[in-house]
Amino acid sequence: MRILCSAVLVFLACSGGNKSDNVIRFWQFWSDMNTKPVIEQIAAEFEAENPGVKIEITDLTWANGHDKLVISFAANDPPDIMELGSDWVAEFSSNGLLAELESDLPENYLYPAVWENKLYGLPWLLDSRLLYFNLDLLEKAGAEFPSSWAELESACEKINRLDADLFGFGCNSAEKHRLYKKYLPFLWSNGGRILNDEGNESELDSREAIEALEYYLGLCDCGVIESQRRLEEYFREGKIGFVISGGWLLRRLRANPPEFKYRLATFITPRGDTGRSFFGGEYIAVHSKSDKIDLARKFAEFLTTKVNSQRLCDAAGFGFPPYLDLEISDPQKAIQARQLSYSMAAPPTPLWNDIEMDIEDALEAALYDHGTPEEIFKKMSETITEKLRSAGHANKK
Amino acid sequence: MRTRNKILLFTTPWIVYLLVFWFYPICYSFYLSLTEYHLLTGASQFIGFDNYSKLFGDPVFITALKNTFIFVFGTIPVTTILALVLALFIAEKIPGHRIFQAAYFIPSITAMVVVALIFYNLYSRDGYIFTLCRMVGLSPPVNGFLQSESTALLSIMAMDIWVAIGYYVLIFLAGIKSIPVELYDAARVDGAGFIRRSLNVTIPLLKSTFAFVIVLNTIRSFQVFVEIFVMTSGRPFNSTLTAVYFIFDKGIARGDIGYASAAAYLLFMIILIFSLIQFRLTGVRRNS
Repeated sequence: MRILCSAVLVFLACSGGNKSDNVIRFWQFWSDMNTKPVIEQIAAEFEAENPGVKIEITDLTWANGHDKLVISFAANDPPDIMELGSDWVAEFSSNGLLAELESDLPENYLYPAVWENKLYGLPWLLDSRLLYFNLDLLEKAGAEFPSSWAELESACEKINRLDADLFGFGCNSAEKHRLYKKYLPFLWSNGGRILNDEGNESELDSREAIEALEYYLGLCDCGVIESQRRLEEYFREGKIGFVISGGWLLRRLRANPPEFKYRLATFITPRGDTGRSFFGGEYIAVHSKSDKIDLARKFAEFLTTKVNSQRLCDAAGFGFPPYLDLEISDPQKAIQARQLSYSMAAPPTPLWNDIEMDIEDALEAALYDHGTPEEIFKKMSETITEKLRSAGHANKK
Repeated sequence: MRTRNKILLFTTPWIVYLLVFWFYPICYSFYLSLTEYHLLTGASQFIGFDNYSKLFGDPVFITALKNTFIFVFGTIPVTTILALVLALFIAEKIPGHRIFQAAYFIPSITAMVVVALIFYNLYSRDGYIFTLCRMVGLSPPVNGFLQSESTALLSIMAMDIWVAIGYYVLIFLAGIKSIPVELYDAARVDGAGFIRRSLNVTIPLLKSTFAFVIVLNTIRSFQVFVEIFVMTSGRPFNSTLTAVYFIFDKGIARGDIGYASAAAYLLFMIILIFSLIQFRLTGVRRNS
């Protein structure tokens, strides 16, 4: 029996984990060959400035990173510092899982990370979605560059009629965390909103919301439904008239220039003014119960300095540091920056993850003709309102 | 060291593993199924069997069960029959039989994520299968096989049959090898050809192998997850949503662990009942 006890003690002694005093665990989403070395370099510089500190980096993917973070909190073993999507911060901060931070950055950049007037995330890289047009296909179809919703739909139809293998619009299939970002720009550009000011009622059953959905479905009718990755491939192969994407598509188009002329454009309102888009961003947050909270905060501030944010954007080939005084000489980058300034974030509510899935389920139902847009959105809106009210949450800015 | 201590020493790691990683989670998940449990904060409230009664009225869960049954009953007969036929041919030691044996087994040892990604491309609008269908005059779904509600599940089932077949060929081959050679010699003397030998000697003596293959295949098919996770996430419009993906989606993606645990227990009961029925129907008893 003594042998048994000794074996168990040795096992326990060896399984202490890596929670030593000077190791900061950092979970982040940049794992490609361009960005990962930059992240490692920034971490190494922080280690050099703080002797004895070690940054342990773990890579996540956008497909299941949220789930892994949730599980790590559930298992009471979250990282000390983590990168979060802009619309995830409220879910964690409202449950007391994130530490309060400070920043003097512009308020609209901090908005997604604010909960009950306290800041829980530092913006690191900001990006938006915009429209990419294939100018050759527009010309071939005899369509002018669209300057209103009606012209955009007409151009889409004309391109779609050109050939069975050519499509007017690249319509997203029901991919998690992606589909809703393609609909929201049309909702916002049409003057609609997701929630009311109090954040306790859905406004997705409004006339503006349903009109935007009907318009989006009309575009999908003269397009192809596919995953984001494949839509971008189709666009680069010259098969799609226009597609919605982020700055990463421009990086790919520049790395491997296509044989056709393309142009970036901001979203437009039905009458042709600059429209709203989805405000996407990466935020750095610190675990509220981390035993290295001060060091983690210091590392969060170090990561998000203007220089280090710019280094990340340069390596990624897209996105902007969260600073207003940027000099942008590249005309295509200037279009992206303009769209970013016209972008809106999802309302910071702890139920956002659930609301997002409800919106995506409803969009999918509409896309596959499981009811009229009005019926589907009214039902979805009721569900969201019920959830918000039963949870007793409000959109506390 | 006394024999008793030696036995304890050598079995303890396994018993500890079993208790910590199997027995405790199984018991704890049953407790969770009786609660409303918030994954992120760990807050829970005992609600009795409410999750179970809610499940029976949940149209999404019913759809997930329906799809799972279609998957199980659609793939098992095809996989079993094809695997048996291939095993019978390979057992005849046709020229190059070892190459066939290895070739059929390769999909089974390839990671499902890799296979699913390859098939995702094959089924897409510019994939080979789509192009081939158009070349022979068929009209494939306009957005590709996985974007259509009527073809998405069938496409995943076809892929799954291709993946699983090699493993069951191997099991059938092992069963065939255990049949005494004298029986075949006697059949040959009586003038039985390949088909007669297969029908009258091999297949009747593979009864327990059949039961094993069907039960194994049933359990595996009821638990289909990776293919769905990689290829469709249960979409379009829940047409590929299976029971295990439903459990994952509710439990992990939506954080409703209590509800997901209740669904997991229902699935466990269904698999248990099916396995018992299959053993009964195939006549395999514990002592056989």
